Amino acid sequence: MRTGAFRALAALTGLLFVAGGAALFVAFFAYQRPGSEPLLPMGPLGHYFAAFAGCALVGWGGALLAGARDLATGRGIAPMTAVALAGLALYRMLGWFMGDYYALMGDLLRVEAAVFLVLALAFVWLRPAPAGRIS
Amino acid sequence: MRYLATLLLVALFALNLWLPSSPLGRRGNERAVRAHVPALW
Repeated sequence: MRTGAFRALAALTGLLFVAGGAALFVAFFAYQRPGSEPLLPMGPLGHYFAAFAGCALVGWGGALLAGARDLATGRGIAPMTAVALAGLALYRMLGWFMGDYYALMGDLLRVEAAVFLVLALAFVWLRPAPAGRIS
Repeated sequence: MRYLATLLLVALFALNLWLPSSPLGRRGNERAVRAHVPALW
């Protein structure tokens, strides 16, 4: 039961991260087209870092997909995934009361933070048991 | 360790819920927006 839930969690999160990462990576190249109008007003530097984050997300998502297939791998990557998800939530919460980000995204920041914290909790509690132990 | 992580995450979750009713949340963030930041909508 727990292992099945972990596989589903890791696979879905991994797929989401790979897709999101690929979109950020493609956005960088789309922005370079002459006369392009980006969806988000990030500017050249923002798109540069979006491409960086996109590549990192593809790698992270790929690791999660590997963790969904192999539970020993999943057990290894679950704790740091929870830490990173908590970090994603923490900077959104800070961004909520820093006026710049509130003006851009409003309460979406707090909603996203809540989603990331729930995901982090899921990775903490669904983390597969060591090999040889029944969970 | 699992319980400590849970405690931290639940504390962050509670802080996230409490933010709007905190003095920081009531201050009115819109006034602190920097002039060069464009609005999305």
